[in-house]
Amino acid sequence: MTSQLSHLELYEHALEAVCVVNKKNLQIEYLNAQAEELFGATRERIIGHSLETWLIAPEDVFFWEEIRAGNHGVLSSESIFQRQDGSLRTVLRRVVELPNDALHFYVYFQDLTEQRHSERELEYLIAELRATLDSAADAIMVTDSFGAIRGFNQKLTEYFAVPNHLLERRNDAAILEWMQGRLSLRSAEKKYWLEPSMHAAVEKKDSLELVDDRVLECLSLPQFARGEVIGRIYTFRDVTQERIHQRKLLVAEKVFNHAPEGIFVADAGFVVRQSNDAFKRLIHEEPDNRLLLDNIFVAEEARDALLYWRNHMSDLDFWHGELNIRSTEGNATPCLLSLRKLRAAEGQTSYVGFVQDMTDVAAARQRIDELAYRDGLTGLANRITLTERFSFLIGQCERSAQHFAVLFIDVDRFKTINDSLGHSFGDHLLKGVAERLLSCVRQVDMVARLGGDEFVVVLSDTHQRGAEISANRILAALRKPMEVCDMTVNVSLSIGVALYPEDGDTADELIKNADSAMYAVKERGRDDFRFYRKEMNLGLLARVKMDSAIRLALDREEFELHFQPLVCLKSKRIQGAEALLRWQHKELGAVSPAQFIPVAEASGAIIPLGKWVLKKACETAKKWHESGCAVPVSVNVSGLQFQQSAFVESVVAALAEAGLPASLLELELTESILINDAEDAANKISQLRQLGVSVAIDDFGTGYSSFLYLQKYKVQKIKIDRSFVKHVPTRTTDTAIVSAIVSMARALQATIVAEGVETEEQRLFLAEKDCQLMQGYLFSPAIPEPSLLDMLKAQARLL
Amino acid sequence: MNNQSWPTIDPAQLRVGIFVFLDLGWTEHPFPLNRFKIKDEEQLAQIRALGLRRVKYVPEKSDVDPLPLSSNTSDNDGPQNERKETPLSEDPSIAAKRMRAEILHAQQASLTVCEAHFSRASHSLKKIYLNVRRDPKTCCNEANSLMDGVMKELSGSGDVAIRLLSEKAGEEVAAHPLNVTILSVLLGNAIGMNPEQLRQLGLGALLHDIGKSELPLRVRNKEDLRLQQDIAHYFTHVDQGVELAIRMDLPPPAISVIREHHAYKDGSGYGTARSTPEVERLVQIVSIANQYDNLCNSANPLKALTPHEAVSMMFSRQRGLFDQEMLTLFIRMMGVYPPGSVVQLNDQRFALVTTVNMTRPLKPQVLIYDEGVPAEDAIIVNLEDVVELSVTRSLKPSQLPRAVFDYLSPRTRLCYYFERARVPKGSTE
Repeated sequence: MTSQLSHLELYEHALEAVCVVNKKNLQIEYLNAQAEELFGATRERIIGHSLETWLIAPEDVFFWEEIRAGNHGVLSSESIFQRQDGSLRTVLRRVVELPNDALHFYVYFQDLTEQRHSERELEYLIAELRATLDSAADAIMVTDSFGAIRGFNQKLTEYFAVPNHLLERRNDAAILEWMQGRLSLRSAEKKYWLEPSMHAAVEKKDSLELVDDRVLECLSLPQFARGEVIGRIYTFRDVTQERIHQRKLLVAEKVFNHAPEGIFVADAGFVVRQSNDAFKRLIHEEPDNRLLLDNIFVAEEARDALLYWRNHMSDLDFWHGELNIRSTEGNATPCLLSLRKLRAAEGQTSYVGFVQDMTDVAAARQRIDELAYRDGLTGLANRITLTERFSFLIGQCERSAQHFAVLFIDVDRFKTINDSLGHSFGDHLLKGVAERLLSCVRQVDMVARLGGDEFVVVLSDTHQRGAEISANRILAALRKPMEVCDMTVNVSLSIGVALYPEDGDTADELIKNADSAMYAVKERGRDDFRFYRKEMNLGLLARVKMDSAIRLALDREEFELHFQPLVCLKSKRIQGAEALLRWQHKELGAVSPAQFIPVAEASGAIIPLGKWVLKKACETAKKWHESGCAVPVSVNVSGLQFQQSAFVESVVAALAEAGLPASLLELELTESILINDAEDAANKISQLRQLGVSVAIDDFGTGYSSFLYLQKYKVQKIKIDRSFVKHVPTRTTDTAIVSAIVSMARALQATIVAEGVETEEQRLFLAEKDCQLMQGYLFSPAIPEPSLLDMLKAQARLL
Repeated sequence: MNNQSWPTIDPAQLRVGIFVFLDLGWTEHPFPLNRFKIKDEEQLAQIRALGLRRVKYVPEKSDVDPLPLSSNTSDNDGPQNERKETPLSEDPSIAAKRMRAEILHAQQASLTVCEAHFSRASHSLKKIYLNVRRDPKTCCNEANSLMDGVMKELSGSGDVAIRLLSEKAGEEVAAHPLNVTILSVLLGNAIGMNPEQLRQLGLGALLHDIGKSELPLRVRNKEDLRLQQDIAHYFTHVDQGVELAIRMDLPPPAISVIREHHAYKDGSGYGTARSTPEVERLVQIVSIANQYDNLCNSANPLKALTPHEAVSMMFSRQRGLFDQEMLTLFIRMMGVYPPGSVVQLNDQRFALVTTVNMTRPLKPQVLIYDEGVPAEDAIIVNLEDVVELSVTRSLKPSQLPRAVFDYLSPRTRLCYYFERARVPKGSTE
């Protein structure tokens, strides 16, 4: 230390680091203790060295450069100081000249390293906090206790869409007002951030709706410092999506709970985890955590398919099929199950199922099935099913050279029953017949109803002998009296049999031929069966052609009347004759009335035909009368004919035309005619009786057979149906019926005629019962008029 | 501070050593500052010549008390007349001030234009980086026309460009290669390179990181990398860049820039310098500019340095990495406090550096924040003219109170309230 610098002792204990530098060469000539510490070296090692060794910042370099260039100046700035050990300090370094020392610079140092370091730390911390606040998911705003904004983060400006111009200049009121303006009308009343809260210490939670439909959840809390409330912190969270989800969830829940379909969710193991009320109703129980789909659904095949689908990781996420839900009562409910596989993000598979109750659908479907393949009335197979069976059997028999038989069955006098007792009764009767038919055949056979009273029985693997046995079994079964609607009726059948392959190799042919054979039975007196023979078909016309053929035949006078005598049982004298219609077709030969009369009745041709018969019968009777052998002629009147309003007049006209006394004409009516329009029938019968025409009840016993109407109409004659006569005296029921009818007729003072008397035993029995008249092969079949006249003449001669 | 509360005295009471506050527009008086201590008789005369009736003074900053008021206090009206007699425009100091203000206003206007240019250039640069592998030839053409634009825009607007770079430093995702290009070309221009050299320099700067387009994002920032293998991965961008540059058919000096921009003088970094001295200059320029921009625009804004800190850091601590002479030239160009820097003066006031003084780097021209002066009429001081005023330190813009920042920066900036500490109540507006 030179004496010049002796005043520097003052610096020795200064708090500031000081050094004195020679202006010429910047060599350090003095430094104090503080400076020694800063430099990191003792004076001895520093004095004499240039200050530039330690002050390395550009400020210093350029400053000394300026000094060297002759510029004066002071330097007072932050700088970098490199200590002796190379470490760096941030210093505030002031270079000054003292007025009393022209040779030296005085350099003062203040070590700012620690200060700058903590400043930087602080800044870093603030920046960190700022970044945190700005990266927060929520919008944050802080106000002071007077409501002025202390701060907010970027999210807030986003949520409230604060425009940039409000952010360029600070204006709390404008920002708060803007935020208020962003509230929807519904939330606009809540302006709590505009007013300093009276309850500053209260926590508040609220939800705000914004004009852009955003929904914010707002939580405001008091901000505390040392236990004192110094402001409020508002956090806003965007819950728009949450709200939408919540609402959707609510709707979904409603849909789930109120769906008419059963809905359930099952886990990967098919355990039902969740289900709606409809599902619970379907399965009749509350599903617990152990309820397996496998146990709910019982339809084996479909369930196996379902399990296969589940277990084999099918690519298809959807399965649906029909299953049955087992229920506690054990009766299964048919349902449609639609199952969708759901793959959650966690890889857990689950299933959502929709169950539709198919009970009604299944019933309807079964009904449709029945209607299509079953006869609606009897439940038997219908024509379609029959046809299928035929093609199946024909195919099978072609391969295996088997046989089968076709029975065409018609209920005798069904029309009469239907007409007299009503359709409902007829329907019940047909059901009864169907039941009996079914009871007579094997499982492999088929009974079908073609319509009306026509049935077809197909007997598999059956030839002539088997068919005969079956036919007899059927006939026998039907002969037993039948209970229908609390009434006992007797029914008989006519059966025609066709055999495959002899009688045809198509369904149509077989049915047609069996039909022909059936008609042959009808002609021969019903209640029997016959095998088809080729000749039978010759007389058969298609029914459709029948009507025109009948009308044509009338013109061509192909019809003629045959007469069957009514004979006294005891005297065997001819007491009358029934006119019976015969048709001699040019090509077909004789056509059975059983064939054409139903057609004529259906088509209305029966009217001219009936007129012709009446006319012809009257003429014949007149002829007999003139020949001196007068017997009354009986004419069958069909229902349609009788119902004609001018029926009585037409009878009067026929009598007049023929000049026949009314007493020689007898009209035979069936029971059904009398029942159909009782009032009208009573009138007409009374008129006829007044004319002197007598009225007989034909086919008595097959219809309603009411004692009441017999009494009411005061008929003169009752003809017992041949079906009763046939089995007397062997069958006791028939015997009893005939006895009853006879005694009843006697009470009514009516004459009894037994039809179809074929044997002497029958005659004797009937005679014993006081039956007056008979008709039948025993005495004579229906014969041409000349033959009858001969017989009458012969009889007259006997007298 | 409330300037209203300061006492006023008659101009006649003024004397050397009194600290005055002139309640006038900055261009209505000849002094560099509105408030100062009267240092000589000349200043005293100048104040008196202003013709003010009363003058505010700050007792606590004054060395001496005002003179006692003389008996002839009747001439109160006098100063008003006197003032009118002094045409203010005749004072050369005032005229100089006006010119300075006008130049500054022009500079601020051109900032906006310059910014738009930057933005466009940055856009086409992105395209080049994106498409270079697919179509190197076209990208080369685009880089050339981009360079044309940069060279045209930069001629004569060095301060503006640097100021813009400084103001944006650490603030937004800067287009680093473009920043480096601008600084490189400015430096090349300052040391008198010819247009062809400038073009080669610029191309090298533009594309010095072209190889990074091949790197995964994770390893594109060296400062984030800790593992040796990651750092090695990072440096592969150099060779990748060279390969691309060859495919682009860049001039060889530009390729050298790419190859050696991480090869530091002290042997650290990546690669070795093996260029001719002529090309070596280009490499050094880009290497320095690259380092500077990396320090100012760190990927983590918290670590970003102010331009002054960056300059200081490179000069004092990293001088070994670069060519001494070139680094010094760079700092001379940038100034110790580059234009755009926010600084604090030794009288504690904040200021914005507007223009660098190449010959006296410590004495830039600054715009001073003074709440008593409206921003559009702000005080502009050439520190060279005011010996007692100097820069103490630089700050990040984010360290400024909002009002000061708004005053100093002509560019609008959005503010979220948590961004900086709140100004004490009542001090704004």
